[in-house]
Amino acid sequence: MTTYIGTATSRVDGRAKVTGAAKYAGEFNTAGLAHASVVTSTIAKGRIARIDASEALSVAGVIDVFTHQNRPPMASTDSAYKDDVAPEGAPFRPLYNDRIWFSGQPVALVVAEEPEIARFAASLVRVEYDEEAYVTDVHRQREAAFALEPDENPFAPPKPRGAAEQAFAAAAVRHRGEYYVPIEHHNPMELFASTVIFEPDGKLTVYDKTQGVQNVQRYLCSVLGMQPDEVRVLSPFVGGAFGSGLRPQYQALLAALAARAVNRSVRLVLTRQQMYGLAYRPAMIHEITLGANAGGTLDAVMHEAVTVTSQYEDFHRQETGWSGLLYKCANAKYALRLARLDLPTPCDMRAPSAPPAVYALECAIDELAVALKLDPLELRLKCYSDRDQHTDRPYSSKSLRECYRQGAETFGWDKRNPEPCSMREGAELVGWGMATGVWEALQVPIAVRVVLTANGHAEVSCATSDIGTGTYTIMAQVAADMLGLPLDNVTIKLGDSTLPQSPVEGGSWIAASVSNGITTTAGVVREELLRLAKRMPNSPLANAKVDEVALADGRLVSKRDALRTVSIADAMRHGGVDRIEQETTTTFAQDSSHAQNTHSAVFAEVKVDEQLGVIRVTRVVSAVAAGRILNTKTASSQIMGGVVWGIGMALHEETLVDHNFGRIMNANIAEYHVPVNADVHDIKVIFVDEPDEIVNPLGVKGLGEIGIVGVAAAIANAVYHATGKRVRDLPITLDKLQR
Amino acid sequence: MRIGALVPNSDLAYHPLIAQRYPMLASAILAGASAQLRNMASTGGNLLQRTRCYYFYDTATPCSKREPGSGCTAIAGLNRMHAILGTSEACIATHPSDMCVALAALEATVYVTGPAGVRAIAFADFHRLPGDTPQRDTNLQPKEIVTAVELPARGFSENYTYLKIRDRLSYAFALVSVAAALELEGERIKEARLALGGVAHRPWRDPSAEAALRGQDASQATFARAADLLLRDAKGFEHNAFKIGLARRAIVRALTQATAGTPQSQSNKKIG
Repeated sequence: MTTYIGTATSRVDGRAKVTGAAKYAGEFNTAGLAHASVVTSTIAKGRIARIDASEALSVAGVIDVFTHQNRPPMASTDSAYKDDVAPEGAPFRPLYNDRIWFSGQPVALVVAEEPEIARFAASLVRVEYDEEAYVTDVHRQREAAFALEPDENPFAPPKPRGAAEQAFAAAAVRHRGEYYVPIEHHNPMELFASTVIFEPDGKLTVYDKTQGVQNVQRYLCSVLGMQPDEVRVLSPFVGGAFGSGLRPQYQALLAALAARAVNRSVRLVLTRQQMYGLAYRPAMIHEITLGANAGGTLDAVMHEAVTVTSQYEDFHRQETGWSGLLYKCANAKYALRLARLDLPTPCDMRAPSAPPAVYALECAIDELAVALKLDPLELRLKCYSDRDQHTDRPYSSKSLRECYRQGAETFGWDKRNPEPCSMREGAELVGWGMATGVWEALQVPIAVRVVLTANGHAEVSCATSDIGTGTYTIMAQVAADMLGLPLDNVTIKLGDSTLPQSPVEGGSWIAASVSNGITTTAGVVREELLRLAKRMPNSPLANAKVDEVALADGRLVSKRDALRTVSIADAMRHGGVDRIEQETTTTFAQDSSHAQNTHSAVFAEVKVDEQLGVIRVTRVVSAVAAGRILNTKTASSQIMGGVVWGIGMALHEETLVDHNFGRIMNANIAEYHVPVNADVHDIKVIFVDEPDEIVNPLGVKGLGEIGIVGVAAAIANAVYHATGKRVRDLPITLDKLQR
Repeated sequence: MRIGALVPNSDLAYHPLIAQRYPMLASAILAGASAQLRNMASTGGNLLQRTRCYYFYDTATPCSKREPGSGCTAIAGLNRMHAILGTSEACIATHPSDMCVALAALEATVYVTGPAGVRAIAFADFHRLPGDTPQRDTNLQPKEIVTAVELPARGFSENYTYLKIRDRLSYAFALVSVAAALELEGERIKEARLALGGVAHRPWRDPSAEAALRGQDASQATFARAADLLLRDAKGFEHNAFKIGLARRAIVRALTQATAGTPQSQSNKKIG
């Protein structure tokens, strides 16, 4: 039954990717393709006073220059710009009017015969502004930060429980710490790009870098006033997105706008610099307050967070609730405030707010362990919770204890000397730190179509995306197992808005959703095959019920008697059909009786040069409990990628804004540091066994996000253990160890 | 030894004669950029790298190096990467090269050809401090091109190091780098060269610091004195004052490495 599920199957699209056969949004070509280039604002707030495009228009090969003054018509209501995952507020409208909301905002679009001409001409567009005062520093805006009304806020902090303030006041051991995480950008390798094919009948075929083709399709139709059948959006391959492609980005709309204006196909590829004007994980200030009794159990948890949003939308996610969820504690309370800054609206970035929030919590827990003179792992075990602390429900499954055990054993945690600065190797101090990670096991309604042909081949389709995570591969594995076919006989189609309905690929929900979706549709196909098989003369399956048969090796097989079988080909031939096509939508019951989460235990070793402060992360062990693992190879890669990003979050990543200009200054990947190979050493990934018959029929929880959560805290805690210095603002650069 | 201006950085770093006679130069080159960039980068081009100052690259902000007279934005801005030595009110940018720090320590000569013919420029005279003309990075005259770099016979192949401190372990510009080269007679320093990168508009040397090493015992106290002399005029800004202490410790460490004959490995990122 499960030949492929759970194995280390290599990516089915691997060859296409490494040979370059896989085409990305900016690589699709068509005859007469025109090229566009964006001009972006140099001020953070104000109005465009004048735009002079005459010099740009005089360049040979320039077709047109669009600004808010001469752009084609666009929708005029906020609701038209609301995509599937838009937060509350009035979405940004590119080239809509003279208003400037943030530095780096598109203010003009040059369309030309060649990309080089477009880009050169874009440099000749002169823009004058009436500038207004702006604020881009969360610290400056902290006092003015506001709380959202709970009923308007789907990600509102959980309700408080107990009496946290009183419990804190009475606690034997107390810790209060403030932790800061700066703006970070997604920096996917692939540049944001859209190639809009202008079809002869005026319809648009849009190749877009996105995590949700149907989201972009609806958005374009809505903003451009087009019918659903007039816009098709495709995104067969995505070179990383990490949340930056959840909402439609402006290049898709501008390329479509331009194509319709010049009656030609248009490609728009943003530059790396321009991508820093799209979206980002906001800067956050987290204050964690913990009270414990001397024995090491928690009496009070308080979490106050300030996060950043734009002037026009209220973006935030669950910033504070993780603190009250993770550990057993009778008293908890939360507060979240948003600071409006003159920046673009932030967006989801890998496990949205959990990495900064859990970084803060898990460093605070480490500080509490020091105050309690307890091993940090022991403290976490003392506070271990078998029930969701917010709602006092059991978990559908929670193998975090096993993550701690296996992670600690693999890492060798028991050899840790608890004293800071106590372990060294030559000129380097050695530090060991650990942290917990947590995320949600989410699932969303999804439709899957299966077309099974009599030659034993299946085409499985769904409008979801594969943003590099391995969705093609796990879909093929699940379909092959559920239809009883060899992997090579399964073709996966995704990333096309005309395919069966799928929400955006985010939240780690696609693996669970689509794998169960395939299972559902495959079940209907099996039912149809059985119906045909039963009609055969002397059918060996004449009395079989659908749940009594399985598909294996190209045959319907009775689970009771393996000798009772009918081949798929025979059943279809006798039934007089050469193909079976089924499409079903799978929904997931809202199980309010169980909490559904993934967990991890992360152990990190750092070596810090005592004199120079240079930090090396020499070892990381990440033990993950995420239900059933569909593919141990792509799953390990996912977690490893999360760990690498966690290293970046801990030590390297920071979007630098010059608040004098309200402008991002390190908008390139030379100056915005992510870890390079030299920064990444030994990473071990462990998946602990976590059977879960409650979460969904396959027991799959998804693991796109869990890999990054907790990593920065484990490293920060290791740096403390190595050096005795507690750096509470990321990234931990060597100068901060000298303070 | 003469190196053509078009010799790629990789070819130079891995040339057997360079590895044998001028290993500090090889080490400095390999500390810079990435393998791909080093394959494409030329010797002359490395000399003429522009600064990595954010404000120089962003045409939305003033920069006297880009637009003379418009003012230095970094002084009151994001200046963590910037210079602590030889700055001016017009510019606090740094020269980004690693290779040039070693060339400065080795006292290379730059050969240039122009309308007036061929001339040789001592390495110390090639790059300029910003002063009130930050737009001029070098003393190349109009229509002059770099044709070659010449290395003197003295290569310091026994006791040298190139120690680069940066924000990640590879592919990042130096916060501080140190080229240290010694000739020892037993415990005594016979000849010394010391150059800093990442701290000034050009590789930073100071004859007094090297004089303080010459003839002295190779001890931590001697190294610390030399570091103090080399950094005596250092001045930090809001975000980069840490470079002064970091440079001091890096100098001492580099001189320790050079004395011990254990140069910093550029492949193992552990600092030796």
